[in-house]
Amino acid sequence: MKRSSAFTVAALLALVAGKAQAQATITGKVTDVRGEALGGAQVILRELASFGATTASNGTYTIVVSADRAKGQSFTLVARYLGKAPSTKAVTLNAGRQEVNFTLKDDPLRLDELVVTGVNEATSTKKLPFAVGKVSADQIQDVPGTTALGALAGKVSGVRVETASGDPAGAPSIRLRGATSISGSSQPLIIIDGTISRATLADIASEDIDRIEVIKGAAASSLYGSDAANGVIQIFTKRGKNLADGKLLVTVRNEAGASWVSKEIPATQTHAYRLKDSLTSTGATVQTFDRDASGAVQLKPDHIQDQPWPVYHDHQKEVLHPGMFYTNYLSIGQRRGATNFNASFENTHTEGVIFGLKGFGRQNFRLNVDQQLTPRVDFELSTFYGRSNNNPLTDPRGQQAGQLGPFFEITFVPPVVDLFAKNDDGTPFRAAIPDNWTNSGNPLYDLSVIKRNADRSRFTGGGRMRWRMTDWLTSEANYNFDQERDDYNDLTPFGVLFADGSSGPGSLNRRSFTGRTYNTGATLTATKTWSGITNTTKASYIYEDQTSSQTSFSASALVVKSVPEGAAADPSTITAGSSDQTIRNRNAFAITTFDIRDKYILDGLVRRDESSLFGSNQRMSYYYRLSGAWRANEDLKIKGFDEIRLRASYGTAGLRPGFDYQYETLSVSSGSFSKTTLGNKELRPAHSAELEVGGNIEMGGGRFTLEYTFSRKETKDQIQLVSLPSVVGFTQQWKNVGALQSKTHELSLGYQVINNRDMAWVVNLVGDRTRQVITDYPLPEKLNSFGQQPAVFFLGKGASLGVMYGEKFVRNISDLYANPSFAACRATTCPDANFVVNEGGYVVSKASWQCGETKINLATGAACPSAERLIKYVQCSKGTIADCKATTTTVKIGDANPDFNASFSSTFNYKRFSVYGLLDWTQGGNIYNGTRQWKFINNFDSIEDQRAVPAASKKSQDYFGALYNSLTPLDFYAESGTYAKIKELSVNYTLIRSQLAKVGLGSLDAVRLGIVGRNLLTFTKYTGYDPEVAGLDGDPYQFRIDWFSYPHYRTFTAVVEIAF
Amino acid sequence: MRKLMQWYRLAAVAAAIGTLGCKSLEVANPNAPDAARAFSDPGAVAGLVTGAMRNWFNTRGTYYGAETLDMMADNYSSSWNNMNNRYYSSYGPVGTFQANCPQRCGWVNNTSDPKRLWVEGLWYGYYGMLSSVNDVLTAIRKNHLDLGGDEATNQAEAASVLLQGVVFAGIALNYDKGFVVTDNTDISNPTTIPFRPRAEMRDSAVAFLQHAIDLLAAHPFAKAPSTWFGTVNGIQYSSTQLIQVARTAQAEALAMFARCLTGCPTASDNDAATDWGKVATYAAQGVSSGAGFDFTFFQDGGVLYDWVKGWGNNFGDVRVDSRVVHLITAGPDPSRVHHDPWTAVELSPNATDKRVGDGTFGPTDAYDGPTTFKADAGHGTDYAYTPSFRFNPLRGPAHQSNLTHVRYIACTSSFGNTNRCQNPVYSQQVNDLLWAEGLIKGPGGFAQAATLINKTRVNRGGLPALTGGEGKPALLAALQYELEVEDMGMGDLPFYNRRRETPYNWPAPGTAAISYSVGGPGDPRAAACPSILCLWPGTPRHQPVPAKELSVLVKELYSFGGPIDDDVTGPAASSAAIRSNGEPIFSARQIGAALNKKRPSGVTHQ
Repeated sequence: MKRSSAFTVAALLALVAGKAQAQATITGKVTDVRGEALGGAQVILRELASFGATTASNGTYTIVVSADRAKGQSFTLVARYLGKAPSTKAVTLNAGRQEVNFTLKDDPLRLDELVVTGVNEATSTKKLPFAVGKVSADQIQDVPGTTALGALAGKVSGVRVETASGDPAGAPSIRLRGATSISGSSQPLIIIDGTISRATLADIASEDIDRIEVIKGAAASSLYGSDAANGVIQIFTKRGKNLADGKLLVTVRNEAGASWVSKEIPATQTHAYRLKDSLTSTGATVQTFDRDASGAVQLKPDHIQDQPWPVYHDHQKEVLHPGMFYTNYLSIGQRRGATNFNASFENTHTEGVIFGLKGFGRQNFRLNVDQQLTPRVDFELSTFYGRSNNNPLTDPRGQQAGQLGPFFEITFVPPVVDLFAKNDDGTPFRAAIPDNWTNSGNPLYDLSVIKRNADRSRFTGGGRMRWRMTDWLTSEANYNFDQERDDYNDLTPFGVLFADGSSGPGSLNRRSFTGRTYNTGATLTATKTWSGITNTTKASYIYEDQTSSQTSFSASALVVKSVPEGAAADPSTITAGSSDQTIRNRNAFAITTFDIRDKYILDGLVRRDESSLFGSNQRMSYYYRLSGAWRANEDLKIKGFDEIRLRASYGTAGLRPGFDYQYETLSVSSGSFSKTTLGNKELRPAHSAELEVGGNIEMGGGRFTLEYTFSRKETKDQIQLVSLPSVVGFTQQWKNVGALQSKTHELSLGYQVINNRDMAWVVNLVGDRTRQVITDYPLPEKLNSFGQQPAVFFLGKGASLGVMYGEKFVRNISDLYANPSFAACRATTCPDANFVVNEGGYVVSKASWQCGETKINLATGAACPSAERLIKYVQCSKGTIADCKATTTTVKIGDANPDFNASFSSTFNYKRFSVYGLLDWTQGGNIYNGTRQWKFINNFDSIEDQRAVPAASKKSQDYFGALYNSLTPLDFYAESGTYAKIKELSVNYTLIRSQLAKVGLGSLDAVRLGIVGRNLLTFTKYTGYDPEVAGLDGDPYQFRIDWFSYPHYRTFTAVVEIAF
Repeated sequence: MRKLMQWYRLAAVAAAIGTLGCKSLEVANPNAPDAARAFSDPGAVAGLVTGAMRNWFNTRGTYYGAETLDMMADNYSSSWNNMNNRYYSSYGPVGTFQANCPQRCGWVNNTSDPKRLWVEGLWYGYYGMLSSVNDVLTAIRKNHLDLGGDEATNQAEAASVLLQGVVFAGIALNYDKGFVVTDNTDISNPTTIPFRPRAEMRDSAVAFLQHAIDLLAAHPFAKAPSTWFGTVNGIQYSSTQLIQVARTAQAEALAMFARCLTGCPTASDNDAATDWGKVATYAAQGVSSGAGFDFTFFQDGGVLYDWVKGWGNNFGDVRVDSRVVHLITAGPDPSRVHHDPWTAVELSPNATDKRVGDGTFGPTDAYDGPTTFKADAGHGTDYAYTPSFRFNPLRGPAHQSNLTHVRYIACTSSFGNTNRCQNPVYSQQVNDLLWAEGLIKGPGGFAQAATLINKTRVNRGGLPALTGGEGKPALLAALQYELEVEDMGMGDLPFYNRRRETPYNWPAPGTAAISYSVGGPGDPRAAACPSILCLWPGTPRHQPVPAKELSVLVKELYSFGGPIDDDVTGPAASSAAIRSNGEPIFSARQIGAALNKKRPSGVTHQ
């Protein structure tokens, strides 16, 4: 490759040589502090952006400026290289040749990168008036996330990435700072290579990512208007832009390993049923259940679970088993003169950890090409095609996505049942569960007979043309296109067996979804500098057009056993549906930025959005931003500080309503109508206003950096579905009511601990703390829930968003008297002395303490009046305790909001050996463990195992049954959500060309060998599989609820990466 | 020239973007019609009638409340908490886990608790129907919309008025008050529409049903649209038959209106205050009169589904309450009826009533548990026995039994059924028993009443015939027995019947009322309700206006039943509300304006 690069440079020089006498020619070399050439560095004349060059592999560059433009002016020549601090030099542009060399210092903390998101033009980090989070390719390459956004986890303060389910096909949810919507999503606006993405990010491979930029709220995201209150994430994929001129780089990366669930939830290994001795056919004596005349198992008189099951099958291990993981990635990139491109192919497969499921497979193709057509016109083309296949637990777009899967069924199967036994017809995995245990079923059977398949395909394309019309005026036009298709089908075969032993006629479900979006726009950008002041002003128009269509078909009975098609279904059980949506938006904005002597930055913008999603009387909404930054140390020159930047920004942005919110709708079913939603022509986007202030400090020549940001945002005009009076007929209407305020503190610290020729060690710490309060809620208060999940999350004015309400049992004797009934008799028949705190920490009647079901005291053997029971907490909710008009058992039991989140990452390099690790820490906050609550229905929770409990302190199933609480939320399940998790770990060794040459592989540039671990170790007291869990519906941050979701798993792989 | 070319380029780009990027923002919602389209389209207006008629069926059997009321009446019983059945029908000493309330839990009527939905189901079901038919009547009467000829238009108008009466009756029978809103009511300011007490709601029901009868009589037809009564297999009732339906509805509204509070004999709306003569008169023209018929909808298991029969006739979901079991079989011990059915498995019955029989069931193998039953001559038609409890005993005394109601098993998914059946809203038996009760409690006619009772007692049950000469108490006792057996599964009729709480000396004339203990033997609260026919202490007699509705109208929340409102003499403050809140979030003018503009000027177990 070196030879061809040299040839290319020589040819280019030859081409320009003829005119060299009349032209100004700047040549030079860019090296690092060690003197090594930096191929791929960008060198540009700042004031003449059309004139620049990329260094060749040997670090050299040449810029030629025509004679008519070289008239002795002074310009600034800037050299930039990824991971290095930029350098500037003043040049005087005269005809002839001059040499300007650059030596770039290391910048492992990336203190001076350019960002483009939310700002007028590519802007140095040092001049940002607000916080912009960044993740670069070098931060991703060690442990590429299984999805694009997974790469953000733990790397940017104020960014939370929650993968509510471990489903291999799942995409994480992201929240930037606090929530903006009381009941809607917090998902930010995602833009990939200029394409506004509305489809899942599970399609995108993180190996393709060049960098990610994140702006977290309206103070920065006003530029994106009515869809940006949740912040904006821009993903830029690799384009070969950073390669050395003439360089062709081929990278082959193979990663393979295994996934497995690292934790088993403790389950009771005992039961409370009568046993008897039975003889086997071999004459041996075994214990079996002593059944009654009807064949039912019988409880022991004491109802205490202290006998081991006669046979114990570990069902968790049977359902959860290790799966394979592999990724093959090929990337070809080149930069040659006016052209650069990057093409990639990725093939990945994640089997997951569920018995019988094939898992998720994906194949992606990406091609990005940049072409400079003339010195003033360049063109960018981005294309992507991806397809994937998943063998899901349930329909990912279905109403009960994820519910009633194997984790639900398995919760209710007693250990004595052999799930691997055969059915009467000889088929594997016995479906019938003896003794009809509530809700039980054999998930292995279901997984083996029910065929579910989800296929996706996606094509994304985009083009951008930029024309530098003059030195100060640039125009730009873009067109971006995104299309997806998603097909799901499942087949439950005719004759499927149920847990009760009966069989059914099977069912068939098919659904097809297609979506298409495009966005197009034009921009004019003007840049002028005078007297040390640079002004950049931009005006832009953007149009978005989105359509989607879904059709569905289902039949709940098949009549022809071996024909799983609609034609073979019972026609009377067939239902079909379809829906279509069109969304259009027309937006325009103008933004102006003043850079005053590189010290003061002032920025202002105004944006107008029109959207078909707004009510017809409110088609337009306006947004604005005003922000500024002061690079204080440029004035103050405080010793020891390289940079002190103070910044403040205030901006507004919105949240758009859903497609059908504004419309009046009547539901149609089999030809009949009923009124549902009253239309609202006045519906507006929710309006978020954010004030962000903060500062940045750099010290030690780039070795230490600190960034602090405080954000206060309030989102008014919340879009909420409100109830209407019954006489109106329409039961509900979408309206703009309510307000939510959040305050966030963010801190980022970076420290280059060691930086010498052989060794480097960089550590980063990011953390944030968010508090969010519903400041206005003129609606009836309610407890929010989705599906069958417990209604535990309270919504009301003044409440923290995410606060949990439910019931509790009394743990403190004084709490008894919050109950008016107890308060009334405290002085007489129910004094403190009548109660005691038992072994489990609960208050019980002293007379019944340690009293068993047979009403015999287990400690003394004396008769007692009643068996020991827990006492529910009751308090007066209306009136005084003395004159109470109403009582309640529903009280605050927890809060989903953590005290803070923090992540610690460390990158250590010694020569060609490197170790990278990321620790993610969430302190505080509660998770509602709804999965555990269900276990009490059949007494299968480990707390009920009484084998190791002293005889007098043993409690019966009846006692523990109180904790089931009919699935009404209970404080017992509001568990601590604190955890620390080693999320990413990699150890690599890179063999360079000289080493490879010794083994005959001198044609290769480098070979990297490594091991990678994901979700390796979690430190937590949370009793479920993983504290990183959320309900199957709703905002996973607001609704932190454990609900039978696919558990997270650990992945451990080996990596071989070859570059040539 | 060069610059000019450059500007041409710019103009070309602008034109391209203009072409792609200037589409109209006026986007229609193609997925659901709006009122403007629906109310001006004859087919859509006819669809509103269809929808409302079907909602009658669905509301009567709604998941949210219908079966719950029957559970509170100790008619059906379930240990599962699906439909909140267990919560609303269980009870137990304070502080124990078996129940959430020491007696019976009252209605949870606040805006924050999911259990509130069981107060809302019937309310919003009925008012949803009312809104639809009022729109139909507006389209026909004010906008003179032709629905496809005079007969179709007249049919739709009469059906709409019939359903207005059905709605008012439903509200009167289930709630303490409601709104009388018709196509003539100005709903532009909903907060000013007054609540009407239940007696006025009942009277409005009777009057509107009469109006419907008049319309049906004035414009007779042979066949109503089949789609009114089923997505498939709907029966095309004639106007004469629909008049009979309206008569039965009138009789039901009067007869089942009574409620017995503490001090029942003096309550203004007690049983004695009912105009039984009118009940007899209306029922005499009801669905069992003349060419009698069962008024059915075809339940398809999807669009149309009756949760009461669908779950009530499924062994795995719901069982017959042990109170009813005691009435119709030799067991269980009355002292255990509401206490603890777990300590002794009930034996298979051997009742003389053919509807119970020996508890065996069906033509094929039985469904539940390890025991297999074969059909034999002794099997019952309406009830079947299983030795197996599918319920965990530790879930507490929910008074379930070993008997399951199987009369409507075709309406379930058991035994290969697919939830599809002709499902009666009013069976002939229902009308017969209303008729008989009107005769016994009204002007007389014991012999005819005996004949009516015998239609089920003898013909279905195989019990000895009555003559009418047994006297009023015995006839009432026999009637009560028939009501318990025959009305089971018929919407909330069992609840309406039981809230009247008339402690007849049943089962044998002259014997003392059967006593049972409340919280177990010796519980002093037993004195509050000495009869097995009594509702359990704390059981509400009806439902409060849902908190959701009250909040929107900015009214005080209240509720009925439960420990705080034990004797149900009046509304209690709604319990379990976290905090009170609720301010108007819309102006009434806004709603009215929107409506006026739109109108054309022309399973898992828990």
